Parts: sequence; structure tokens; C-alpha cells
Amino acid sequence: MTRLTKTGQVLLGVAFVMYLASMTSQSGLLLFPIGVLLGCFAVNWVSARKAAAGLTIEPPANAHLAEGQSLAQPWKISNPTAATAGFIRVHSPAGPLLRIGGLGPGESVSLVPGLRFERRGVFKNEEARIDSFHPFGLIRAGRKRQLPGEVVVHPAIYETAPPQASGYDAMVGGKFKGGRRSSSGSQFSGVRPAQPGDPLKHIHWKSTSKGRGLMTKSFDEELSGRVAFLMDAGQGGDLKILDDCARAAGSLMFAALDEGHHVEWIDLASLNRLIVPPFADGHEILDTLARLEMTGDCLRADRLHGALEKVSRKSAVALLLTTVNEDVLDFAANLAAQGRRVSVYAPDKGAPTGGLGGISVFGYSEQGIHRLS
Amino acid sequence: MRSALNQLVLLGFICQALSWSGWFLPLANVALWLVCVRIGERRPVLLPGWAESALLGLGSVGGILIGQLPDQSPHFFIGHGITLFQAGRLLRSLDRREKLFSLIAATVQLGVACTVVLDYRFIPILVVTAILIPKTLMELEGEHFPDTAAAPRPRFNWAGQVAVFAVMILFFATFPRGLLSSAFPPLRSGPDNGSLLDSTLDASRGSGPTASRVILQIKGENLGYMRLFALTTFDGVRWLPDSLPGQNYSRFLPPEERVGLPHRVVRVKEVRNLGRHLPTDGRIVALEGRFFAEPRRTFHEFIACRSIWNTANNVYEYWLDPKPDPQGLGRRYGRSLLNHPRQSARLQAWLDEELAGIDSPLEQARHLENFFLENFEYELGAPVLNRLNPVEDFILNDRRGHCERYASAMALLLRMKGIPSRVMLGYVPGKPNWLTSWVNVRATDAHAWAEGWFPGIGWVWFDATPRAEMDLSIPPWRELLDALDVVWYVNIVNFDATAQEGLFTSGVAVLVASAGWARSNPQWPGGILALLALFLIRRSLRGRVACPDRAAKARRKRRVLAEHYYGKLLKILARRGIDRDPHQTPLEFLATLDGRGCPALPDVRRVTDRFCAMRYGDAALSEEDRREIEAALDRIARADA
Repeated sequence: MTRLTKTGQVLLGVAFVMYLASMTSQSGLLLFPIGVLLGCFAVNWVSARKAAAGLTIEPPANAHLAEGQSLAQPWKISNPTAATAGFIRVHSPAGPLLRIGGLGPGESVSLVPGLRFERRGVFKNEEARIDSFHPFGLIRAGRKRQLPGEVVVHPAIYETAPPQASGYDAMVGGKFKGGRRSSSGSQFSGVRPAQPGDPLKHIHWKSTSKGRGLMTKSFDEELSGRVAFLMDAGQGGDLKILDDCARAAGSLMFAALDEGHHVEWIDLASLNRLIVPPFADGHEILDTLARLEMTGDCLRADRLHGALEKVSRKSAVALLLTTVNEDVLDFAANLAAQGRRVSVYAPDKGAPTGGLGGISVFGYSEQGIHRLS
Repeated sequence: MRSALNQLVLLGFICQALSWSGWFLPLANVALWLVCVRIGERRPVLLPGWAESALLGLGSVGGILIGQLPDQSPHFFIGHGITLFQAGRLLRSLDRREKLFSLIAATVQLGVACTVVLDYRFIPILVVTAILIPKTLMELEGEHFPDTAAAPRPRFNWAGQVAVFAVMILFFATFPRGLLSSAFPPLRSGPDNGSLLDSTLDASRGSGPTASRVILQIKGENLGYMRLFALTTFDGVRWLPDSLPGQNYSRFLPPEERVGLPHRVVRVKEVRNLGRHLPTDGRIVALEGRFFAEPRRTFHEFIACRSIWNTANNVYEYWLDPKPDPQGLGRRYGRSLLNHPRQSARLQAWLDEELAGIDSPLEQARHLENFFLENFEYELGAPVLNRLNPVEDFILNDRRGHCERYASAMALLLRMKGIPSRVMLGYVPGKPNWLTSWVNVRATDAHAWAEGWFPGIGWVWFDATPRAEMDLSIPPWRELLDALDVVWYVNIVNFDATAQEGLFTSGVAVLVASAGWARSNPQWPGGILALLALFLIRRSLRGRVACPDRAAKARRKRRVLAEHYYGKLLKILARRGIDRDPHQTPLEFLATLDGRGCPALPDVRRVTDRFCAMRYGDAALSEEDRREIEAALDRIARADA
């Protein structure tokens, strides 16, 4: 792809004006400076195209970043041709990655892009374009390469309170204390007489030594809950709100995982379910949120019910919305009426302000989540 | 000062200044540029926006006012405003948009030179332009990109420069001239500036530095005096142009009847010197040209036009009658050419005495011509003559002066003897240029002579001006410049649609001839094609096969150099007792140097950084980098000592 730059457009206009002047002044000598300008265009066209076609890029393998972070690994740019390539720009859909002054024949350079990735998303390396403006900056010649790998930019998550959970089950490491005792766990509860089958290592020797027979340690039962996130993938049509929503979703899910909850996630556009066990590193969540694309017309009753069928019946339901409509309010009210724990997370500006009868309503913004009712 | 943009601005200043005659303004503009650049480099001054706009207005108004002076022109007055505006901006550093504007402004001022500097002085301007515009564009674009040791910005490339120059010439030669050279007559007739000659007849009266400029170039054999216009009425003090309507002949021979007639081609470089007349050296029978309207051959054998204007191709051709018939005068017109105020008895007595014994009018005229030639002196800037009777004062008392006085006196004496006469003004062609065979006619070649009419013979010219005792030889360099001027005018300035068509036609003819030759000698084109194919194959393989090897060699060389310089650094430091532990990386070692009394630490840091960039980052090493590293090592060693 070869295009005129802004400087090129301006100077082409100047050349045209000079041509008009040459007609009015009847001076053919004015064709000389016009010729110089056009010569610059011609040389620029050839050099830039050659440079853009000849350069090779070796990006690092897949990179994972959070919003606001920069890449840490270098990209290698080589010039295997016999001509100098100059004024090179490597550009990704997220912005300019690299600017290189020049590369002599056979030379290469490894540079770390300084670009900060401000938005979540997946930026495939094959979409990166290498442009050259060499040597006059009048014409930009660019070419895409079939490069492997991608840069995955996760939403920037922040500290927040975990969502409401329900359907607590026994789970080693669960952060919630149950009413029963267990022979294993992290919270020491007391001792009981040993029974056949108790492991020897659980014997509480101190109390056993007091002569009341073999005593075994007992622990508080550890429970973990379940939370199902139903996420609207852009019904509001505002990309920024979708990004805020993705940040809120990521933050809530990580808070839930830290609490030891099971997390289920469904986006209302694809209705694909993602199950993340407690204490997982959450990579799948971030990856899924990074790849989430805006899809309108997904916040409908049929899709909400379809999503609900796919999640555990015991789960609390957290509705992450980019906008609020009648369908979702009815859906939430029905769930609440059935005794399900329901939380609604909506953008600050569009969140329902009135009470929703047993439904917790939260507002989210770019930087945090706060309770509304 | 080394910035290409600043140099281009300087060129714009000079080009703009050339719109005025003389060298004062170009020199003043150069001085202005120098001062502003110096100030801008040492102590930048930020003028407010209104001040820069005021400079633009001030320069424009100044351009208009000074343009009213003699020999100056108020045209392009805005350009002078731009000069001051640009000077104001030289006082500070500019952002990218302002720099682009400066580039455009300088280009506009170059356009002024394209319009006013039509002679060979344009050649150096063109060459510098073709160098500076690409260089400036490269400089502007380079500011967007980092100039690091690993990937230095490319330098000025002569191959690219040659390519720009080639495209420029190709564009000039091939761009259709349709609208550039058509002869659009002006809406109004231009002034009859025939009297412009008057100031050049006596160079001491203000023809000034432009007198040596070529104004005409003529090609033809046996050139005679070039008549421009005639003065026929004498009021006792001055000769004036024809006051009678006279006879005009506007019918010329058709092309088929011109064959074999004496032929002249004239290129006019300075149209303004001609007024509305075309110089010719005889009775013309045909005329061709596209920069004048309604040409007429007057009774006095010069060509008068309704209007003359400037085009890209001010060329006219004319054909002469080799044996013109003697012209009749007619009774009324003959009488008018004898009119003169009554002269003093003293002058009449002198004339009768001088011509005593000579009966034939033609012999009397020849005698008078010889009398002037033998007894008078040519002198420029001679003292002013008696205001009431200048001709008598000249003949009887002063006896020195320039051509106008001799022509005037001769014509008056002929009339006093009853011979119809007139004063002709025009040019005397010199010798053909040794290089081009074209005859250059300069303003200094302007001349006046007298012509008398004799029954049965017609008009006979008499040049009574004695030969000047001045050095009229032209130095060889001047001849060379004149030749260059002709080549420039013939091939460039006058390159119009016709010339372009001729170029294409001859190009096609060369191609056709080459094709015919190639058919008859197939071995030669075959060999050339084979060589070309080999060259292209080699060139394409260079990029794919040879370069990786070359790149590997270059990398090896860089590593060796890097290790060499870093090793040298370690040796110098070791002599001072600062040793690097084997486990330390160069950067770790550098970090430990801070508190160990290391000499010239910034230089050590520079060498280490460069070593890391070359050894681990495959950075290139330019000659400049190399000199810098060696200088840094030298400083470290000296600090060590």
C-alpha cells in the first residue's frame, strides 16, 4: 500500500500552484522546481516501496500484557537487501510500535517497542504493518507480513470486593467456614477421639498424652461458593463502556477466585461457558476478556435464559451489563423471586437507581466498582 | 547555518532579491540571513505572532515603495514581505509545521527567480535548488525518527540526488507545453519604449550595469545595421519620431516564395528594450513570430507592431529582399524630410566652404561623413552643448561626442544641402560567438546613424561616428558565458511546444534508425541485451544470496571491533588498578566504577554503551562513531596518566 503523506499532499498542491504560475507568467523555467518536487516524489516512491518490501521482522512469540503496559521483548528488524532502508515505522492496530532511523544493507537491529497498549484486545502480529517514508517523507509505502504470534492485552484489573456467591460446597482451601468439622483443612477447630481410618499424622499427640486415648485433630469445614457471571457483550454500543465492563468483570472474577469460589462465565453473545475452578491462575478469564468483541443485540430474554440454563443451578448470578433494559430487569426480578442471589453490575451512568427488590445493584466505572443499592 | 532548510531560505532570499536590478539587495539579504541565523543559534528571540505578521506587511509595503525607484520593479512585492517574515523566523527554532511553511515560502521565492532570472545565472540557482529541496525534505522527515547508534538515520544520498535531477530534466522535456507557450496577445498594447535606446546610446548617461546584457541574438550571414526606428523631424534642438502617417506595408511573401532569400533568426531576450519595434537589417519581405501582433513594414524600413509581449519563445524570423528597388519618396513626404529650422549663416558658410567643388549629392554626403570621421573624436559623456543651437555648437566648436550627435549633425547637414535625410536608431551587430555562431547584441551595441535619400539609388546610410578609442574586445570568459547564455536560451528558456515536438520527432527518428541498424547488425543488440540480463540477474541475486553472507561478515567485523575497543578500555583501567571481575557483565562492571575513582567516567560509560550496542545489539559503527570512541579512549588514557 502506497499513499501520499500530508507533507506530500501539501507539496503536490504547491507544485500545482507553481504550474498555474508558469502559465500566467509564461515562464517554462518554473517547470524546473516542479520537476525537482516530482523527482522527490518519484525517488520516494521507489525507495519507500523497496524498503517496505525488503525488510523483515521477527517479533517475539505471544506476549501477554495488561492495559497500560508496554512490551518487554525486542522485535528484530533486518534489512537483507543491498540498499539502505530508512525512516521505517512498524505500526500495529494499537499504534506505532517502532521508529527506526535507518538500516544499512545486511544490517539488523533489535528494539523494544515503546508503545503502551491502552486498550484490551488481541493484536495479531500479522496485522502489524511495516512502513517506510524513505527518503523524503512524501510517500508512505507499507506492507503487511505473515508474522506468527500475537499480543494479548488483558483488561487492567483492580482490587474490589468479591461478588455474592451461593451454593457453597466443601472445598479444601475454601475461605468460608461451614458448620461441620473435617479431618483436614487449615483452620484448627479442636480434637476428637481417633477412629479407625484416621491418618496417623493427624493424631493430636499433646491431648493424647493426657491419657484419654488417641485424639485426632479436627478442622473447620472449608467451603467455597459459586458465582456465575453473565456478561453483556456490548448491547450499549459503546466500546469504552464495554472495556470498563471487561475490567469490572475481570476484577470481580479474580476477587471471587481469591475467595475460593467457583467461577462460571458466559457472554451473552456467544453463550460459550467458561468454568474456572477456585484458586486457578485465571489466565483463561483474562484471555477470554481480552478477546471479547462488541456484539450488539445480545441482551435479550431468550439469550439470558439460554445462558442461565448453562450455569449451575446453585450459583449466584452476577449480571455484568453495558446497559440496562426491560428484559434484563425482568430476568433479574424472576431470578430473585426464585430465591437466587442476583447482583447487577451496570455502568455508573446507566445503572438503575431505584431499589430492585432483593437484587444488589453495583455501578462500575473505569477504575472501580461501588454499591448503589 | 548547516541546516539545509536555512540554506534553502537563503537561496529564497537571493532569488527574491534578484527581482530588483543591481547587487545591493542580494548582498543585503545575505547579510540579513547571516545575522538572523547567528542570533537564532546563539540567543534565540521569540517574536510574537503579530510581529511576524507585521514583518510580512512591512516587507510588502517596502517592496512596493522601493519598486517605484528607477530601474526597480514593484512586482513580487509580497516576496519581499516573505523575506522579512522568514528572517523573523530564523531568530528562533521552528516546529515541524512552521518548517514546512518555510520550505514552501522559499520555494515560492525560487519561483520568482524562475520568472525574472532568465539568463545563465539561473543555472547555479537551479543546481542548488535541486540539491537543497531534497536535502531539506530529508532533514524534515529525519526529525521524526531517532538517530541512534544501532540504527542511524541515512545520510544524503547522491544516487537519489542524481535520480531527482534526472526526473526534473525528464519532466521539463516531456511535460506538455500547450498552455505555456501559446502566444496570447495582451489585452492592451504595451508602451512604445523606443526611447529606451536613448539612455544606452551614451553609456555614461545611465545605461548602468545592464548595458552589457545581451538583448538580442541573431543568426544570419552578412548582417547589417539593425534598424529599430527612425527620427525624421528636427526642431532645431532634438530629432523626433515621424510626425507624418507615412506608408505601411503589411503584406509579406508566402512561405513558398521565400526560398533562397537572405534569412535571419532573431531571439529577443529583453522585449522591453524594443518598444513596439522589431530590429531588421534590410527591407524585409516576410516575417514570422508569435510574440507580437499586427507587424507592419514602415516607410523607413523598420517593423512596427501594434503590441509586443513576453513569451517563453521570443523568436522571430525574417527574409530580406536581396536587391530592393529604390524607393520613391513622394512630393509631400520628400519635402517633410528636408524640413529643418533655419541655421546660422556661420554654419551655412562653413558647409558651403567644406563642400566647395563637389557637385554630386552622394559625394557631398560621403565627404561630410569622412570629415566627421577624420576630424572629430568619439567621447562618451561629452560636455553639454549649447541649448539653443546644439548641432552648430557640436560641428563648429566642441567636435566630440557619441553617435547620436554625429547622426544628428550628419542628417541636418544633408537636409541643408537639399538631401532628404533621417536619423536611424538601432543596433550594430558584432562578431558571431566562436562557440555558437550566434551574434549577441547587447545594449552597448545600440547605435545611431544618418541616412540620406538619393534619386535612383534610394536610401544610403552614413555612419559618421569616429571609431572609439576604447577596448571593445570581449574576454574569453565573457564569450564563454555568452555561449552558455545562447545554449541556455535556445534549449531551455525558449523550449516551447515546437521545440518539444522537434525533440520528440528527433527522438523517434533516432529510435527508427537504431531499429534499422539493429536489424542489420543483430549481434550487437543481442550482446547488449545479454549483458543487461546478466547485470539484472546479478543484481537480483545480490539481494537474496550474497547479502546474508555479507551481513554475517559485517556482524563479525563489528564484534571484533567492539571487543577491540572494550579490551583497550579494560587495559587502561587495569593500569589504574581497576580490574573487572570475570563474572561481571560490562554494565555490572560499569555500575561498580562510580565509587572507585575511575577517571573520565562519562567516557567510560560511552565506550561501554557502544560496546554493548555493537556486541549484543548488532549496532552499526560509523566512521564518526569510531572517531568518537577513539577520542574517548584517548581522554580516558590521558586522565589516567
